[in-house]
Amino acid sequence: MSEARVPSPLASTFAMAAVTLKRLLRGRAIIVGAVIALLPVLYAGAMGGTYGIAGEEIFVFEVLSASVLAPMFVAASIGEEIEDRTTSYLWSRPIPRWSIVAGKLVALVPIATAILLASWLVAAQVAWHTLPPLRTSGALALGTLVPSLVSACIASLAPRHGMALTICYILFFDSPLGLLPATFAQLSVTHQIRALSGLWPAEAGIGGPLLALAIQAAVYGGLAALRIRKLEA
Amino acid sequence: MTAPVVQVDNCSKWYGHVLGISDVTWTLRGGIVGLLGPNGAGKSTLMKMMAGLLRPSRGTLTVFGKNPFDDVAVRRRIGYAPEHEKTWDELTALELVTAMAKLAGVPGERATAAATDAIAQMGMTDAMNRRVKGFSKGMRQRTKLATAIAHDPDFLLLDEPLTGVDPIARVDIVERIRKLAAAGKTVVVSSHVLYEIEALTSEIVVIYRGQVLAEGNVYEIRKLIDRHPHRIRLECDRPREVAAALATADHVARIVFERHGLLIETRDPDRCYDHLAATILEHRIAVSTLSSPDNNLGAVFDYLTGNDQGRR
Repeated sequence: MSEARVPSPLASTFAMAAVTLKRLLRGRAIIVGAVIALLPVLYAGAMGGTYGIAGEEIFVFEVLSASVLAPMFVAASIGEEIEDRTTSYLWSRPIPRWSIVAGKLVALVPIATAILLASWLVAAQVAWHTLPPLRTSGALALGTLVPSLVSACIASLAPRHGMALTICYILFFDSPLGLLPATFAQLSVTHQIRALSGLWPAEAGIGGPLLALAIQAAVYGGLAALRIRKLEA
Repeated sequence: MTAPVVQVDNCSKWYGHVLGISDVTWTLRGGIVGLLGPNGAGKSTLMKMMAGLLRPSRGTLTVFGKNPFDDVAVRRRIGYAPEHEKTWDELTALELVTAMAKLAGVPGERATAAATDAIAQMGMTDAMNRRVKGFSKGMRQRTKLATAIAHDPDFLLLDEPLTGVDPIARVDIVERIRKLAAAGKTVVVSSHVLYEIEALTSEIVVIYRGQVLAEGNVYEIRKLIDRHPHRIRLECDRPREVAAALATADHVARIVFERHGLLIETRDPDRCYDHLAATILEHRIAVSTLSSPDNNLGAVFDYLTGNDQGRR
């Protein structure tokens, strides 16, 4: 008699996360990610030491790094799974499909966040020999989560080019959108992350950006789950 | 009568304008069944629908009375080994099979033992701590089979499990699949090679151009196939001498002269090949090519469906 039972969504999410983490640690993406995260530190060292540098400048650099790192981890992982058809193993298992995406996010977002937070802390040390405000670190953590959900959504829609499309979307659409008047800027993920950090615009409160990011996270995450549910192998 | 494991009713599947399967009705009650058809016939589409990867465009398909695409729980009873080779190559065989067992619902603490057992059943114990990346095609096939059986499913779907496997491994895998069926599992194995299926089971379903063409005992199908005149193409320096020697033989149905040789049609290939070999040796004929256009199962199916009229 088989010992197998239908796993709970939580169990399948963590089983998926464990595999994803193992694969990430054995691949090259994590090394490339660390190199990308090093760039703001180098910038802080070069510009901060010579000319002096504002916190918001490096923070924007960190947000841009997150815009590359999140798709590199999340979009690539989901896109590869669909493109390589390894989803046929997963979708024939007794698990809800959304738990596959959830498992990937549970594994990849903390790693990406840890890399970027380390980069932000070191960059601040290099530029000003001090720790950055806690609020900025929190904003950066969310600044990794929400682009990760954007990545999951785009990768489920266009798996072959998920990573490139997400990077392009964030850098060339979302970021410029944040520079437009407030009505449009509210729709920009990167704008809300900057606002949440309190660095720019400086007068921004926490509640508004937090709510906007929560709504955007729900929309992108929901779209990804819906799309994955309907996909056929 | 036992409840069907699989019930397919007027099922069709389209990929845009491309037809996967068309209006298939089929019932599977158990045992080991071979799904036979040439490449592109619709075997994998049917397999994927049974595994819950595809949803029918029209009609219904149930496994143990449930729709496997929507019903998560029924998929616990299904073990599926896909046709393609790609897996998580960064993992070792043991890690891969353990992960799949966990995702199939084997409790964490038992998953490694279940995976080790499944790998042993597939004769891969020696390689289980090696990464899948370095595996040969045969080893990948065995690993895939281990992922399909690790959670001890009741119903196994093995899509082309013998493709690319060397002859010795093939015999071994066939034996292991037969053991699974003997242990009470319902097994569906697909292949485009008749003798692979014959080695596994006598019950086959012939699928061609998305439709079930024939269903039943392999020997009946074999008889149908044997009625099909077998064609032998010979390119040589003196085709007329060969034709003269073969013309009166009762096993030869027809001889057609071609640009560089002959096309011989026979209803008894074994005798015809013997006769041909003797003629070539006796007359010292210089042969440049000897081939059979009918080695392709598609040609036989075309014959069975009457689609080869233009070529004959």
